[in-house]
Amino acid sequence: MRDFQRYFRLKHSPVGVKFIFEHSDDMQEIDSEINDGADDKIDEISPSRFCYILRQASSGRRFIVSAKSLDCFGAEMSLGFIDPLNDKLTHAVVVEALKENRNYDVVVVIANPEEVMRISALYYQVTDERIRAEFKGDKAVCGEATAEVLKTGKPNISFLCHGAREYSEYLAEEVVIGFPFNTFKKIVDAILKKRVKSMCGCSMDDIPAHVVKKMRSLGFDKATDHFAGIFNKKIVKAYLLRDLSSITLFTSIKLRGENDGMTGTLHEKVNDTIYLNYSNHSNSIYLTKRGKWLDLSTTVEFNDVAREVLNKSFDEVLLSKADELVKVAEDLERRLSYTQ
Amino acid sequence: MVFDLRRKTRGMVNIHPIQRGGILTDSARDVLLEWADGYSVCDYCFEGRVDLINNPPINEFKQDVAEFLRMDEVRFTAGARHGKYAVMHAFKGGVIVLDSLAHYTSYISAEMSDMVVYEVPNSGYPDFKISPEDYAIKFEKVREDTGSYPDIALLTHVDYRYGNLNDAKRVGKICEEYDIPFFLNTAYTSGLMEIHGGKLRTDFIVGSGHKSWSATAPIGVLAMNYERSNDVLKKSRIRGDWSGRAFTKKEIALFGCSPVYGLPLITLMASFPHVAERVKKWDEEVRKARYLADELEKIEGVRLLGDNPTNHTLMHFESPTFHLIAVKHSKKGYFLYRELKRRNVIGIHPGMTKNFKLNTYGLDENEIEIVINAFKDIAEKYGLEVEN
Repeated sequence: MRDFQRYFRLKHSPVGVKFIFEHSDDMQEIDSEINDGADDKIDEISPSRFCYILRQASSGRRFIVSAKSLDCFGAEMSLGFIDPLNDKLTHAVVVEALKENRNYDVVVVIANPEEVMRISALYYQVTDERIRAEFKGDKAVCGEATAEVLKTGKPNISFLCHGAREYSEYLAEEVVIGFPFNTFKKIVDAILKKRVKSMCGCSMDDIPAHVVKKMRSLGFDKATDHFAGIFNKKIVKAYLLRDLSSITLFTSIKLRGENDGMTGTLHEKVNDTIYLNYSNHSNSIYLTKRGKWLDLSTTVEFNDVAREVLNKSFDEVLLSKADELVKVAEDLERRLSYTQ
Repeated sequence: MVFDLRRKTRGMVNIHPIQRGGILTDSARDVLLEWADGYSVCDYCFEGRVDLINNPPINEFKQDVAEFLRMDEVRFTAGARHGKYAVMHAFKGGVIVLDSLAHYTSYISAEMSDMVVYEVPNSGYPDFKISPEDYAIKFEKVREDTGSYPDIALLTHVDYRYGNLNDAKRVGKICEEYDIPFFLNTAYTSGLMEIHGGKLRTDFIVGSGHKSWSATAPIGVLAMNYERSNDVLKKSRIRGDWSGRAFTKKEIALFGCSPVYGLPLITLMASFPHVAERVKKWDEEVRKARYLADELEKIEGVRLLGDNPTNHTLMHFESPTFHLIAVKHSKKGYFLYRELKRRNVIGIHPGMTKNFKLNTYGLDENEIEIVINAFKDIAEKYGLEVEN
């Protein structure tokens, strides 16, 4: 999730917002968490405005907001503490700097107009939709960028309200965008895929000779724009980023079932189930379905490949990643053949 | 020294990636000998410029080509590369944004014109896609670095490497929003598929006669809209200091009179009626290409890179399994080329086995089968699995 902040070079962390509704399963857990005091104490800053709490969260903190911790009636209204939101009354709202492997309802991003421009361009690429901005300068962070996003399921840009600008430390050049969590995850996925870039053929000549020699010694032959090797009968390709800061390894599986009557539904299953299982893999192996093929890739980060190939640990790091990639591919092939 | 200039590949099925769209039409072959002399089109040159000759009707043909591409002005150039140089010369010393899979001549033309190049990245393996929205991001980057937006943006409509068809309409729209001239390189598209300069919002288009318009090399097409053409078609203002000689009709960027006399221009003209018709059947060509790609992907380890399914007849396959054969074969990487040649198929780059490119444009169904069977036959001969 930090990839989003890094990619757009944002000053603040995106903020995850999770609604805890009355009578929901999460209610008890949240109440006990409040009593345990494990997180940043809302008492330190409350009663306060929701926009202020969210801005504090963007610097890395976590808060659990209840009606009594708010001193802004507009926020209480917007967030469903008084009138139901999507037919449910809100019990509490978790507001925290975005963390890995957690579920949220909405993600709010504080950004300047140029950053919004870049974010919206990527949003368009991912969804084929233009990002909208519906605002009236009132109940902005709580309403326009949070509650409305939950209600409509669509992202929204808000230019903030008087309260946010005057009392909650938002700068003149800042605006906020609220994203439904699933949409936000799609954008992060697109960013991760963008990082997997190739070098053009000509640039292979720029790779230092000792790096080429090392790759060959590890079983990777030089091709026009990449290195390729065979590991346990699977072909693994290695693409170096131009600045030699990382090596991305690829292998692929052919989905043979399609010609044997394998249905589109099963292909969807490949994407939905197996993708999810592996996308949460600790070592970030990414799966992409492409026609009859399933691509598996993983990126190994280095400070400088040209220097690090001189360390013994380089061999172990790269080969173990290649080995892991192949094992995941083999496991996937077994599961696919079982599914068929 | 007497050279044996017979073409030894005559009669074979040619799948060379850059040759298919340049194969002459029967109409062009009919006039070859008649116009083969060096300056043959210059019998009745009264204006001192090849594009203004009325007999043969080059001047009129120029208008036909402009209409065909839905542009205003056309010149014939010594290849698309010459057209690129002519355009970029008008932006000398400026900044150009181009796609990172642009042909090397796009870069060299920029270098000749002292331009600074900013590349729009591609998505990398295995799709290598150019995202139109990245043009906007790059325009902003140029402004951040230099204080102003770039002088021109170039998109390679279909790239030479993966045959990916890029969204020219979307890039054109972005360029229009930024008021940046949009330059479309159609070396692999105009002459093969319909190009509508107006709809794509292009300011400049270059095409390649010998790559895609069934003409003899070197011949290119440079098309412009009126608003921008004056910048490119500047006429000579030099004057000899002793003689006072001047060449006021000569267009500087086209070397005064574009060097396309004789067969390059005549074959372009002779093939044009056929070319204007064949672009309407592009979908059929894509269908055949997709069929071939599907069949080749049945060979163990062979996989289409770039757009999948393909949107063009130029395709790039990775074939590491052929490479494994090559490593042990006495002919090494040349084995694939030789085996294909034995099966009457020519055009795969000799020595390449890890990857290969081919082009199916204009092949009939029978020839497509010959190519598929040749690859499958070789694969089976060397023990690769071939799906039914």
